[in-house]
Amino acid sequence: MNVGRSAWIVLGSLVLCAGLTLVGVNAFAGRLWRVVAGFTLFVVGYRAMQYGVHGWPTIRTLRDTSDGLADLLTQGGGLAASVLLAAYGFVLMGRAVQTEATTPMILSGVSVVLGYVIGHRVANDEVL
Amino acid sequence: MSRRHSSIEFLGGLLAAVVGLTAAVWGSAQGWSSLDVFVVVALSWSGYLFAHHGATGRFVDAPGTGEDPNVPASRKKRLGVVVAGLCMALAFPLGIYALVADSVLILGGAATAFVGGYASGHWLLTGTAL
Repeated sequence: MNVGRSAWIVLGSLVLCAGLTLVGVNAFAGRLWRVVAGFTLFVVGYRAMQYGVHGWPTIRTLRDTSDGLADLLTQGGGLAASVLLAAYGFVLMGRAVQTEATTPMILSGVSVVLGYVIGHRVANDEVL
Repeated sequence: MSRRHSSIEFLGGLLAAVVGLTAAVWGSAQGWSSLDVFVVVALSWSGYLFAHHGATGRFVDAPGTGEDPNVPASRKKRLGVVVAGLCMALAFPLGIYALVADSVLILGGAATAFVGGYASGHWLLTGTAL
């Protein structure tokens, strides 16, 4: 692996870890939108790593591999739903620790895993 | 694409990922500083990257287009993937219970269930654990 690719792994990882740190420190304080920002950074960092290592898409490749605006909207919408569901699940986790209520306890895992599956399906063609 | 496998890198990375995840959730719930949480998050993510490298020979997979999901034909494998997903989801109530009970050991069990569910589901779907 060359220096450029390694640098993208380090840079992407720094962004991703900063995002997950935002998720952790804000989930237990119930700050949903900061957790959303954290997962957004996670997606940005991970995608930067993927493109940095395997090659950034050009306008031409995007045009050739995409069926147009509808495709881009589906991907963007899927990633947005994924980030929101994962963030909501972590906030529910924080709430469940404080209240010991059963419903957020169960729903937290369902929300995070559902968000992960949607995001991974959209971004990587696999459900896990 | 390289397909070098290293069991030591895979298992050592997975262990670091689980330990880091446990510490990150524990520290976040305990109100650690952002820098402290970042350090254990970085430990967990680095562990995942090296485990991925040990399993597949690459640190990160190529991005997909979202058009061709990989779903196994076998019903047994599909059921296995659902069970793996349930294992990941149930790791959350177990982790919440661990935080309420103040038990870092049970939290480690929850992190193991999450990562283990993920790895087994991924293996059933793709043939590699990560």
